[in-house]
Amino acid sequence: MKIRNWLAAGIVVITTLALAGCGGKGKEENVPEAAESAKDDFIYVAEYETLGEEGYMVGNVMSGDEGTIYFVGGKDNQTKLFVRKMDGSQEEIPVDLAENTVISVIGKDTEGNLLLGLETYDQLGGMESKTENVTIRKISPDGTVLQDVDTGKAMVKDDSFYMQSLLEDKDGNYYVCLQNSICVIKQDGQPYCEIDVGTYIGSMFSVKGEKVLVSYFGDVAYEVQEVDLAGKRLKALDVPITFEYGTYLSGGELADILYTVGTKLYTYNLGDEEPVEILNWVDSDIDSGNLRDFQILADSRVVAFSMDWSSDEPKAELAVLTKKNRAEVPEKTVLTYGTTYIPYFAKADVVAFNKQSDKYRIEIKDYSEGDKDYETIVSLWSADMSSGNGPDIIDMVYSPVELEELVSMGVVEDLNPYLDKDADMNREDYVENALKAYEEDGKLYAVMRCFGVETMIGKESDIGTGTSWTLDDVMALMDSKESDVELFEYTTKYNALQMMLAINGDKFVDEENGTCHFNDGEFIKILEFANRFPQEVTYDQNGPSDVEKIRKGKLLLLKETVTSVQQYQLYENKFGGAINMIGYPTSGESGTMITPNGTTVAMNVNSKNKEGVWEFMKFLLDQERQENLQSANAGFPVMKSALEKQFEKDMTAEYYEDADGTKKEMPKATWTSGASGEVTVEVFAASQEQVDRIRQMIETAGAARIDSQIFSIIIDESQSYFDGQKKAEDAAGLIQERVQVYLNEKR
Amino acid sequence: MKRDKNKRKRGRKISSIFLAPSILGVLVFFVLPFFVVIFYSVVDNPINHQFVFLDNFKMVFTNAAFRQAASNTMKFSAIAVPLAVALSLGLAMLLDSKMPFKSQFRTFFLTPMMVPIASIVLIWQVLFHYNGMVNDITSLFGMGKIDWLKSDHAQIVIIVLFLWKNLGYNMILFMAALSSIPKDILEVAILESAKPWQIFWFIKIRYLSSTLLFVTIMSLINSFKVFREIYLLTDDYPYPTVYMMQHFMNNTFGKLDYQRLSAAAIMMSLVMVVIIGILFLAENYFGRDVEG
Repeated sequence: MKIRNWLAAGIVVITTLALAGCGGKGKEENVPEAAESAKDDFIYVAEYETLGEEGYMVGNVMSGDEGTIYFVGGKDNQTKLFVRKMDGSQEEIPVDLAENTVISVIGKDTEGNLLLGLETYDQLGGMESKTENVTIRKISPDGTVLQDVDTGKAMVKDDSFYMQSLLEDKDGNYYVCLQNSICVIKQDGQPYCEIDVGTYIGSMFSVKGEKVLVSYFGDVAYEVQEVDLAGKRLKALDVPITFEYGTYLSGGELADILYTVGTKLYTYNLGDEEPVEILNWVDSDIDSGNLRDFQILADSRVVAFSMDWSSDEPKAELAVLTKKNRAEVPEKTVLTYGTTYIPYFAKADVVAFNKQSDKYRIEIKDYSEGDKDYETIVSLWSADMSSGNGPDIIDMVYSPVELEELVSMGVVEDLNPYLDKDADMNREDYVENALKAYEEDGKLYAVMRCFGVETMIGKESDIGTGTSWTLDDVMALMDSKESDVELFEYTTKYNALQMMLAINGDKFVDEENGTCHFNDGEFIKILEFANRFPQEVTYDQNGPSDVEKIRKGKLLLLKETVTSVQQYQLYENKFGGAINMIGYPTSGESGTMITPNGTTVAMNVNSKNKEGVWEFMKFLLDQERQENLQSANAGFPVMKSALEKQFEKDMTAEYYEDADGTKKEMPKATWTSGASGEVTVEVFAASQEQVDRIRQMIETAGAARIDSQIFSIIIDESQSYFDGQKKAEDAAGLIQERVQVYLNEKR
Repeated sequence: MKRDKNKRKRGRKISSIFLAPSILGVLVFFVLPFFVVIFYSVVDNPINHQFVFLDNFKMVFTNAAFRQAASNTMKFSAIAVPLAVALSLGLAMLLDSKMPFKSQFRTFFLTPMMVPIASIVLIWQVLFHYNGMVNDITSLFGMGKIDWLKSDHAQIVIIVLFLWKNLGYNMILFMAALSSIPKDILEVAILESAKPWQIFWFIKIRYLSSTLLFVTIMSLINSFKVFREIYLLTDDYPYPTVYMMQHFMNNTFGKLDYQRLSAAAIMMSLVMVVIIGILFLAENYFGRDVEG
């Protein structure tokens, strides 16, 4: 009996130990990459080439047969047609163009000839040139003109005329894809019909010359539909799959549709049960967000054309991807980047890092991949984190758990020792407030590449020139105006409460002692303030724009995240005078908040490649990367010198010559607003004073911290007050009781 | 003799083979997780695995929320379980007597068991919401509105809900037990001029002791499970009086705080073991002279 008992106990202990060891401690640290990725023995290895002709800017691009790429090069208001062949040679295809005429778009017919969409302007150059005539020209691949179809101004409805793509069906009809509609032109140049899609069209392409398909954002989901020529409309495809947002192109001879959704390339034949996954662009260091065209060749190579906008000079890049056995590819240490959604900026940074690193490659682990609901995504993410199998790099922008919880779980590594030890980096080189945004108890847990500042903006004449204000000041401002004057546009009680809690939420909580004081007068005042807003608002599409309202004195404040000097200038223009970015009302301290506006990552404490993770972080904070944020509105760089360089650039005027040869200042940015874009604001080089204002705003900005659980309790209980069922004091009392339970539990 | 021994050995082997899947199941799904829970309760967190011995237990025991949850749960169980046992026994006795519409009453008390939990919660929300039916009725008598689910009255609502849901099942168990009491003993007692309370106390209760124990344990377990209803009625951080042990555990699980969750679970299971042990002792005492 005893022996049997001991045996049973032994089995339990062994099983326990064996399973408890599943946490990963015993896992080999240097697993060969190929073995680790046994799921896929092959990888597409990319060779890159900069596409274009010296001095020419690449415009419209189209894949021809077998890897041939046709593209339009633009220089000094002139356009030329080029062809890049698969052997790497590149040549110009002569195109005889009339005066003031440019090649706007390239397409192809069903027989391998090229179609050119030619636009003739009233004048070339200048910002106000207008399209006078549109011609569709058919040429052979060597440039011989086969047909010129003059369509006149039939397709040109307004100044926003823009041809996206062009093709010809087997019956000889020309299809021109404009921004929101498809124009079908007969052989004689007469319009056959215009199909208004009502929204921006993603792409138009032909399926083996038989059908013309169009992809666009439908009312509820992304759609790929067929052009029904007889019905002069679009009709739904009878296919068992649903289409997601992506880039859809013709699959040529290989398949009906070739498309990219997220980071993956698929082929699909109409009627098939499922698409076929071809590759993951990230594995081949290609940012699918930049892709403009791609095709699969008969020998299974993939040709992809992308535009990289990450530097001042946009780079047109051609990548030829060859399928290789993973074992043939030089081994790199794999780091995982875990996220519940892949933001475009993270994808771009990961691809750029992979391209330049000989030692590491980052693979993105997207927890949302597949058809999962948010709860499943969060539980998968949480299970990985708590079991110690989390990704090496944790995306903080889309982390379902707040930093505080990650810290209490012990999942994130303190980055201070890395920052202090690294000879290439100096803490003083970075904006202090931006580093502090992810600090807890003096430990730095995450770094961001760039940031924005969340604030409230109003006229100095209304809100003064101070750097902060109180709720009493805001209420006094509201009371001093007529009842039809809005404090904020389209703001409900809930929105107003949310705004106030974003900066003030943690002021009612004493984390150290685990107490809260929501039942005091200050919080009740916030509830009363929020209660002054309507319960519901209806967006009026045809109503006046915010600019009109501001200028008529009907709107006092804007709540914005400022990410550039140009944005500040825009607000100055909108308000028509001196403005103040005063921030949210507080009890004296700054009411502006730093928010991440680009890749923001933490290091998993359990990562076996912490050096690699730090390399990636360094790459994000590196001077070159900091000085080349993706666009003017991507946010402020966290590196002080890059920020100053950006300010310098913001203050430097750029000029162009108009048709008359007059030197004119080029606008730094242009915004339009209003239902039909009736208000257009152009901003030019900033003044020193404007830059100083931005600098001051950044220097005084704090970090936003609102515990989501406390926030949800407040929202839940304040509803009864907003509905008029309870007094503000009673609602605050309930909030106090429930939050106290939460705080007790946290300790 | 030797043949018998061999036969027994063979029989044991065959039964072991048939038992193996069950034993494996118990090991993998009950015994092993229990050891994992013990392991988590003595480490600093699931990632570092640093041994901290009883620190987690100390931390949990001194936590104000844990104490509040334990106190609320104990209070709730101390009131709801005896009520559930006594009322269901009373109802069973009532339905066991000669009364009209017995079958209809039985069905009536069993209906809450058939109603899905989401519907029960919906009914309770309609009844006890601030603008609910109960407040409408009380206002007819000039009483002010009470926020039943977010005030000190919240536990009353939960106790009523618990009783409403569990009385029927307990009652059926008692009715079955009552019908299995030997009739001859009861007849003898009547012939011996025993008073009804004497029959109840000295005969029925003794024969019902094992059922009483079972019903009490089931009610106790169900009283811990009332969290589901409270959670659906009032969310994960309810008004303090209805913040139960399972709230604490569910919330710590949500925060991936496995070490505190494990410590709390072990403490709770120890308390349960003690309570069930006491109940067994009581059953042994009351049912000591009852056959079977």
